[in-house]
Amino acid sequence: MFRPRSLALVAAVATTAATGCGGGDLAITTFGEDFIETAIPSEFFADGGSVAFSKFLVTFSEMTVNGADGKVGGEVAGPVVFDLHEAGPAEVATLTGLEARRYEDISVAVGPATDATLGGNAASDDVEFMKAQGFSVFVEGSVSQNDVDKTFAWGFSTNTRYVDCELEDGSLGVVVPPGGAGEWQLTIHGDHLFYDDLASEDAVLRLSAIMAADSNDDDVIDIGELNAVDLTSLPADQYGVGGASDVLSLGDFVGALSRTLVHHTGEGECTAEKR
Amino acid sequence: MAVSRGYRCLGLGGAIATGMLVAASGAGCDDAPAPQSIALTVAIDGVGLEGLQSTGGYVVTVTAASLCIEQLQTHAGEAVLASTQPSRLPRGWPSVGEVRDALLSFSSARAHPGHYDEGGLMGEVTGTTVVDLLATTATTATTMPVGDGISGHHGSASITLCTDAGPDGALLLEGRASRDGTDVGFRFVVQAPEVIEGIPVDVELGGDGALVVHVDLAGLLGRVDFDAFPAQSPPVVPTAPPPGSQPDNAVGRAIRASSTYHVELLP
Repeated sequence: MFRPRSLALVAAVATTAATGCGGGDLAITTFGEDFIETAIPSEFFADGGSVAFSKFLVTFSEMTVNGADGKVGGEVAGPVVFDLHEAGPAEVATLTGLEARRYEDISVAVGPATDATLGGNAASDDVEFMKAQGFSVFVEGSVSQNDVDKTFAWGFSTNTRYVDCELEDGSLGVVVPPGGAGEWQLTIHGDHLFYDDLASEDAVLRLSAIMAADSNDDDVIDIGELNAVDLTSLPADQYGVGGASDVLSLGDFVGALSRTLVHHTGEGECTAEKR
Repeated sequence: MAVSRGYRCLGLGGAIATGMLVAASGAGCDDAPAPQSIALTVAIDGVGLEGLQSTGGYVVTVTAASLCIEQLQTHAGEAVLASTQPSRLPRGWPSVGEVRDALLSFSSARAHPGHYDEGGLMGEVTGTTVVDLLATTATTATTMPVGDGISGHHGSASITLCTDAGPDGALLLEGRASRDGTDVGFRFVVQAPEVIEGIPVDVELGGDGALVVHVDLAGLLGRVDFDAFPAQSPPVVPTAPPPGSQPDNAVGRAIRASSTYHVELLP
């Protein structure tokens, strides 16, 4: 069964979990960690600078919990918007009465908000904004480098399904303990938006190209300005795209990074399927 | 990832000798065949020359193109940004359009940039090989020395270009770009970047295998802004772009992009 965090979410949830002896619960939460809630400090950027988010909205949907053997655990349909800048972890939903076992196959989608989108911990105005814009991710904040401060407000309509999620130790999915509660945290890594490579193991956080994208020098870096920066105008050893040959501009690049935000309970990873 | 580092340090022979490849290839499962040592052959050719036009509208004619490669490795791990669907790569010798379509079709990745999970080493071919990318065709692709590998699924590849390739660099591209009566002579000499990882392969080898690497010349030159070259008076001659200029960066980026290399089974 599903215990919703708000009455409004009830209608958006498919309750498929089985109830049985020795069952347990699974709490699904989401967390932006210090990087989103507070700031990304300068020591994390290869070229100096810092980032502070003031808003970090994510539209989650299609959270599924299943066994590798086909055992159906449960599903939270959503879509539902959370603001990761708010202090967390925030409760998304709790699946109750699940058979105690490992559920190897968990997945979640981050896709464009629709008319059916509900509010998680996000303000109602923010939910309406996401619906009106059809955004899956919207981030707002400030960047500082070399005593220059600029702001940004970027929305993305990327549609990504995160599958095959594994914990940092490599174990797949989540465990529901008998008589207890397991946790699946949708950990959002806000620093990913500032990585300088889509494929290299040596990717680092970098700000200079983003700061320089403010072509009209109004101290606001908008998506149009990012889109106007052709990657071939940047040094050849930065902003590598690996196999993503359709990523041509800095805007494309940050958009591609917006498909890499969701992690499994801290540093665990998923496979992100573009759709 | 940590496992694959171990294989790389050991070398393929060492990995086989110590039995480490068993874990990487899934042997030991009830019905999985044990991996076998196989011979691996790699051929290299150039594609994308026909009708080559830059994004700025220049018609590009390449008069010299060579690539120096030191090593190709294949790995069990799927390529970054590779499709999880069954391979959509064209079989047989693809047209330029087919190669481009295939390169653009990749749709998934590990949700962490910089975390390409190459998995276990599956094959290794070593030996400095200079490939004339203009002379190679379906029947004359330059072949590297025969290497070795193991049977099973080869999901991705990495290529090491020559770090000591002489005056022609790891990549030489020479030719002329023309638009509206303006001709620009170009000569790119590109030194080897870091190992190029995460090249999609998606090949199942049950025994000795032969792969072909198609190097996409359109991918290498297509985004060069030939307007950024210094003005040239007739007769134009091959001219190097200023270091750090857009043309220099465009080719320097393209040689690093795994999408420039398309690997498939040699038919």
